[in-house]
Amino acid sequence: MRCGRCGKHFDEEMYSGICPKCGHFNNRQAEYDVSKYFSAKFDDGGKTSTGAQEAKQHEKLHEMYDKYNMHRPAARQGGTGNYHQANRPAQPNPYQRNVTQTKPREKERERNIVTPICAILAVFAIAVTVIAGNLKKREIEEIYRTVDFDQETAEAGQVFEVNGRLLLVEGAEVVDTSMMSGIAEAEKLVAVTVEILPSEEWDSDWAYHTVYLSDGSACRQCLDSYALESIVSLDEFPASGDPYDIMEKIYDMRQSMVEDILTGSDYLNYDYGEGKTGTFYFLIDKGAGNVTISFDQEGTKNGVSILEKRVSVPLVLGEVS
Amino acid sequence: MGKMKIISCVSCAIVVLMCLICYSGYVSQQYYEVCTPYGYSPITGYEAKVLEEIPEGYEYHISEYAVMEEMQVVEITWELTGVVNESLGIIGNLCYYYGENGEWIDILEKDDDYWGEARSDSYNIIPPGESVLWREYVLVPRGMKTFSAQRTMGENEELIIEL
Repeated sequence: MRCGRCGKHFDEEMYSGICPKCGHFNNRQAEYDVSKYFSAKFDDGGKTSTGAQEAKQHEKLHEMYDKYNMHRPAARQGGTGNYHQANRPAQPNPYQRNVTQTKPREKERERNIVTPICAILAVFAIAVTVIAGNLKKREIEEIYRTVDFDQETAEAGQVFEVNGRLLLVEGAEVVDTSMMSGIAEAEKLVAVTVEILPSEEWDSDWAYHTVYLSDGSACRQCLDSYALESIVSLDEFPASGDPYDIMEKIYDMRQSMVEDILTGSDYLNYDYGEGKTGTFYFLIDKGAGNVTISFDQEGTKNGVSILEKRVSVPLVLGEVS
Repeated sequence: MGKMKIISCVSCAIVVLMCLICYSGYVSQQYYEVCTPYGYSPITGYEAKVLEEIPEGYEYHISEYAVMEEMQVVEITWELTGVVNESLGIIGNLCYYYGENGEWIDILEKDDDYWGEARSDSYNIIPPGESVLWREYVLVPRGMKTFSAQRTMGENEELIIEL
């Protein structure tokens, strides 16, 4: 007989109808032409076997009406009539495939909320930092540029308080600098005597406190001991007088002036807790008339140093001493 | 996904920490940059006039003949006001001066021999709220009507001086 699948001729009685080549069981009694049930006709490459034709028609129907092609290329050479059972192990069930395919999608649908929230927080933190920094800069600048302080006026001989200490300005006088070579003719040296009253508490902070003398057109800081020594000097001996006497006078003057000198950095320090009378020295224009000595009291606002109070004492320049 | 969350949280925490550090450093820096009296112009006015002769005690680096014949001395009186909560010290010259074409204008400097070492210039200050007058002398070519001035320290805004 001839095999209905592969077309090999073999002895039916010897092989009991089972093709030795492809293993197809050829049942002579069950061969039917089913092509009449199908509208499509296929060329099976010369093979006139009903089974092969049926296989091709079956596959074509799947291609026409199913989304998934369940048949492998090997099945097109022929085979059993039960294509689904033969190919199930090789090709997965499309329904099963859909189920397996939807599982990753369902997992992807579980949104990661933490990452976008963290990203938003980070951007928000950066924006807040930039805005806060600019606002703080403006605040610092506004505090620094706002000049608002308490202006007080005291008379010579009147006690007033500044920087936690009680002071009393006794008076001001022009120092005789005719023998000194460290000062120009267009300037004069003014000495302002100040009494610092005793106090149980004093400012142990060595901060500098501004003390200045104003003559209406200029404000001058007080001199330090180094500047005073350079002023109270003698480069040339005068034409008249004993040079040694003059030198001795200059030396004594310098010593006494340096001992009594007060400066902005030390007139409030703890050394004067028991009280002290000293002198502030200023260089001013020779043509200056009445002057005013001022003591500034600084404070702090939001970390910015500001002027809190100023006490001014108007003075009349005494005769040359 | 667990790794992604951990990385996100750690990165966010690092960003927030860096923001705090940067803010602290920026504010500290601003106290130095903002709180300086030289950053704010104290000039509130000026007056310029031509002098007949050179003021006493000032140096000039050209011949006296050139000064009298080709140049003229201009006295500029600046009105300065303390506009910040800190005294401003004036050391040297207040401004640099330039001609109409940007050329350099000589500034008369004080003679040390005349004024001495400890002259009053070293102790000029502008306390907060106080107004002072500051004089400078410059040599300009005769006939020059306008020239410009720029502060030596701080903002270099240009001021036009008219004679």
